[in-house]
Amino acid sequence: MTVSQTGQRKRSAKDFTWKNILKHREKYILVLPGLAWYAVFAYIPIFGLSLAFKKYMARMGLFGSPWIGLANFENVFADPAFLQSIFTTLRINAGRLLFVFPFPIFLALILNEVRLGRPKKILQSIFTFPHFLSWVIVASIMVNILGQRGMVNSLMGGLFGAKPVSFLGIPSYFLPLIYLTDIWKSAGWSAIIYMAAISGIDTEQYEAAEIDGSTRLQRMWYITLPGIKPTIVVLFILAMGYLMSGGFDQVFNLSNPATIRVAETLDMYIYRITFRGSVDFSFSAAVALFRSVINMVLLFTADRITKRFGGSGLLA
Amino acid sequence: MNAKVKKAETGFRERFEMLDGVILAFLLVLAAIIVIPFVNVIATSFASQKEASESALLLVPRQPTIDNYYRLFQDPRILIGYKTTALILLLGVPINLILTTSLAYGLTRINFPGAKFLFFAVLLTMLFNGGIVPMYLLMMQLGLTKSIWSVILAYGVNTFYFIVMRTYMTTLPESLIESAKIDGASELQVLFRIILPLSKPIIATILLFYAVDRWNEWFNAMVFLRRNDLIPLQLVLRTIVMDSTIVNSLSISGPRVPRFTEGIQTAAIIVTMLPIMLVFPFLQKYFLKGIMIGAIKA
Amino acid sequence: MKGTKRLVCLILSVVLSLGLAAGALAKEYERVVISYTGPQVVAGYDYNTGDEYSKFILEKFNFEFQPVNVPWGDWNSMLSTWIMSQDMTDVGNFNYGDGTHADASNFVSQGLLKRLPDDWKTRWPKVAEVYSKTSLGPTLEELYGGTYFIPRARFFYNLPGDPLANHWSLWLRSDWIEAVGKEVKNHYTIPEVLEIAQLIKEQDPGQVGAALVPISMDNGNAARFFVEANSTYWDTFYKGEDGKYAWGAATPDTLEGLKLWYKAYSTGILDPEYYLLTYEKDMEKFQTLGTAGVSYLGGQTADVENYRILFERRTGFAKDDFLFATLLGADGNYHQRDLINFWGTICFRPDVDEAVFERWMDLMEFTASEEGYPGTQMGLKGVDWDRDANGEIISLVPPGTLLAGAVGEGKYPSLGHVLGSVILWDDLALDNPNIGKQYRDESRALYANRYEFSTPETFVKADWNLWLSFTENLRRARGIDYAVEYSNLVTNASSEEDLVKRYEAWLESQMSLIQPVLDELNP
Repeated sequence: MTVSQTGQRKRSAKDFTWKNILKHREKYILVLPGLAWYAVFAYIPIFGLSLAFKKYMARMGLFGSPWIGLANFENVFADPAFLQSIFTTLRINAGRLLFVFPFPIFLALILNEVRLGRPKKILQSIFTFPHFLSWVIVASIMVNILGQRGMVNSLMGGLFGAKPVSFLGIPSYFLPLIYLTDIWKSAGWSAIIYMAAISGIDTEQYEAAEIDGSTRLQRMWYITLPGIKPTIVVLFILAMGYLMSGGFDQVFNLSNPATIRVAETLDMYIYRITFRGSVDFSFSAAVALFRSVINMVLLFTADRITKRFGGSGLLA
Repeated sequence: MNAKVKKAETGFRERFEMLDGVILAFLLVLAAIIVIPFVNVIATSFASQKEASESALLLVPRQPTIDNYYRLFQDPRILIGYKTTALILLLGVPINLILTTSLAYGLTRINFPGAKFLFFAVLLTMLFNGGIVPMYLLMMQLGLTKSIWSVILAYGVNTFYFIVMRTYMTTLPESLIESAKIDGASELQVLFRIILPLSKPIIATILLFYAVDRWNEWFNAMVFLRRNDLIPLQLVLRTIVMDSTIVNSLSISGPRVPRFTEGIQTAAIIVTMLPIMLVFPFLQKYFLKGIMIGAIKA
Repeated sequence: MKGTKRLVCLILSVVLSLGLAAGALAKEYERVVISYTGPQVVAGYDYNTGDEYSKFILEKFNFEFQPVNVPWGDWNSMLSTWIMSQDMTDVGNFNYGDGTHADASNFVSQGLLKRLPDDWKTRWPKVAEVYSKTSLGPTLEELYGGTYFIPRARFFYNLPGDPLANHWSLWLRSDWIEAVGKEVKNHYTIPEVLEIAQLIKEQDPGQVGAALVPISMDNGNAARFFVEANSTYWDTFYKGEDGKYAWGAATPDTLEGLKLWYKAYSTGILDPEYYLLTYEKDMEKFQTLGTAGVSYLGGQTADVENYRILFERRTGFAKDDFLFATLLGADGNYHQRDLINFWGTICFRPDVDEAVFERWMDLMEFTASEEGYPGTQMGLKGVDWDRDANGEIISLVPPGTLLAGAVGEGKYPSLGHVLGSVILWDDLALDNPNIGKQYRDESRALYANRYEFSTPETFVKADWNLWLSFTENLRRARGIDYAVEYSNLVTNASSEEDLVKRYEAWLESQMSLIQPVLDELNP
């Protein structure tokens, strides 16, 4: 980028002199509306996180409420189920990164290779369908398919005389179930971002490669994939930043009492603890802050590592 | 142009072999895995409770009924829901897009003082948020509760989308911008004449994402709006479905007509999906690359 | 002449006093706007122009109504968010419970709710009378030193007893019970039910075939059936005979319930995938498909006839094949803790306009009176119902008329626990002539036998000391989802010995949550 052209220019570009700022005034005007929104609607409420160290008293307001130090955190950590749920969350989401994350990339790559216009459009539409189904519905479909009286068991019974298996009630089947259903539901939708990135690749590169006599697999590997690499890297780093969150609806709806030991994520733990009442804002703030800090550490670690290995990272 | 198309066509026939076959077969299997359960959803929405629960995987209802849709639409709330959601979409999505696009482009040009810091500050909001109470107090201070603007403004920029768009823009050839700047174009002119036309695929994508998010929005409306004549569609559907589920477990007295919850849910999903699926093909052409790569540019 | 004069005087004075009396009765209300939050508000429904009943109420009390619906699942968090932000509606329906008591006492101590004037009981005597029977109301008043919450009573005119029995009941197929040679009655112990279910599984009297589910229950109802019905303190702490608190999960009754559960699960008489059932699928199998022999579900007076009608319409079996019964533990006793005679509590914003507050109190007074309270469920007096010469309520609508119900279905969608109700429907249902008398009598009998088959040790009053405690330790311990935990033990066990082993290990693993609570409760 221009920033790194010469050391001198780099320094001068960052100088907070009026002249320099005036020179870039157009850019400030461009970013102003967006930043104003962030300042008001993201940064003012962020101070609410201070509740993690306070006891919220409505009459005294957010800022006037008394400090109570780390008491909220002590309460959070006192429950062994809390730490267990963190472990479960990381386990489930790390697996997601490994098994679910690559699939939309793959899907986008091969969809891009379909050379019949209409089927391509129809196929892509079909792949986005499941995104609109709620997990409640997906879960009930899964019961229809994988239940003891469901499709799979009927088939297995009919073909091999196998005894019906309760696929959804066996703890060791739970993680594969999560990943497969996640791919089923979201791969097509997530692929859209990659499809868009592919559309942005300069077509001249393909023409030149075609003239050079490259095969399609080669072009996929040497042009398309590198072309969307910045997008992949950024999405990967962001996904790292979500390792502690996400997936509540899915895990909640697909888990059941038989599999709860391997399924209770942090979100489900919080839901269980708070469902019967007591809306403790300080408790919620403490959990949220804890989660955010871990997410942040993971995200910036991922960003660092990418940069070390020659990637451009988030701040490209 | 003609010659090129011809060349591409012959090239196409020549090379329709293994790779195309494998890809197509794979995608068709994948599509089937998606379509079969999906047909089940559609069938359930047109089935009676008895039929839906008797068959292991209902694909074609023997006695189709529109009872579930009738129940759904009989409720006057649905109209309020459509009205409110349409309002949120029409006011909200343009604001989302303008904020996101200008910010994304502005922060690709990070050679101005404070740019990196600003980008970092934006990034942090993705990880930290203050929760619902501070947000509510803020909206109250601004006098926006009970107004549609609370819902619109509570969701301005999605940081994730902002980063995706910005990443896309950084991959655009720098030389185009530089030469335009040398020609004396202002940043705004560069944005409108060069960046936006080249960013159509990502703008279409982000537009779709924002529209779907807005379409699915209910939580902010529930917290901030507190009005009985302004309820987004998703909140209406949620209450309709909830009414028939949680109530019993709370053992509250009152008249209970047990309903076919799944039937209404699936009908609601079909009703919710349709508008998006109708818009989808129009946006799709922007992020689906042309078939004959060589032919497009000519 | 004198006589005429006297007569005129008499007539005049009578007219005058009648006029005065009438004036006193029909207060001249000045128009106000009242906002209200509750989950029972019909979302999107315009109460101001809605139906004749809401119009009647709004005209009589001359106010514009601005109701706010909160979805059931978000009820606590929404209302609390608004109260904590000091921006609640004029009137709110707060979901009081041992879990939300911490919030409530927080609201009170911070002055976020209105303290009712000390003379409110003399100004609104009928509301006060209902209030006195809710047990929660007076308890809280003593705790807070004033009234902040008015609980809505489940029962007032027809209170079955103290402690209050729950309506949850066995649903049984009496035709199948007869076919397998067992006695049809209105109470069974858990082992008796299991025996019947076993016979139904073996003989399949209804010729259902592979779809037959002898016992159809979802996870929550299975826990109620096997554990709650056998072990009074299955999910809480209790004060033992030695005056010390102990943990109910560790009692022999609980383990016995788990063993029964495991027996039913491992022999296949309980739906083998009961834990996958959501959205009342257990009910569906009994009521819609007719493939289940036993369920454990709601049995409110308002529903006992209605459920049977639906059963007959959907399955084609006779109404009478559907039997309601009380479930007793293996020891033959009915086990339950006081249901507590309230559901939802009315509260006001601290700076509520005096006229608004008084109007709502007047409205509640009206709906608690003999004049107004039948209307909350039966519609308009003189149109839908009336009282005969003996004061008995009589119905003026044809049988089967749906008075309350969804928009487009019921005659008055506004009927519900929104417009001023402080007495819930369980009560009037027992006198409601729109429900067949035989069913109301049946319901009374079901309530009665719960008292008959119980001892003060198995059917116990509320332990307010425990109920009103909300230390951090208790809060965490209350987060344990017992139905899920027990079910996890049952489904993962490979034999009864294994179940006991798992159960003991589980008890041990929870001690880090439980011991601190016990230490607090037993100083």
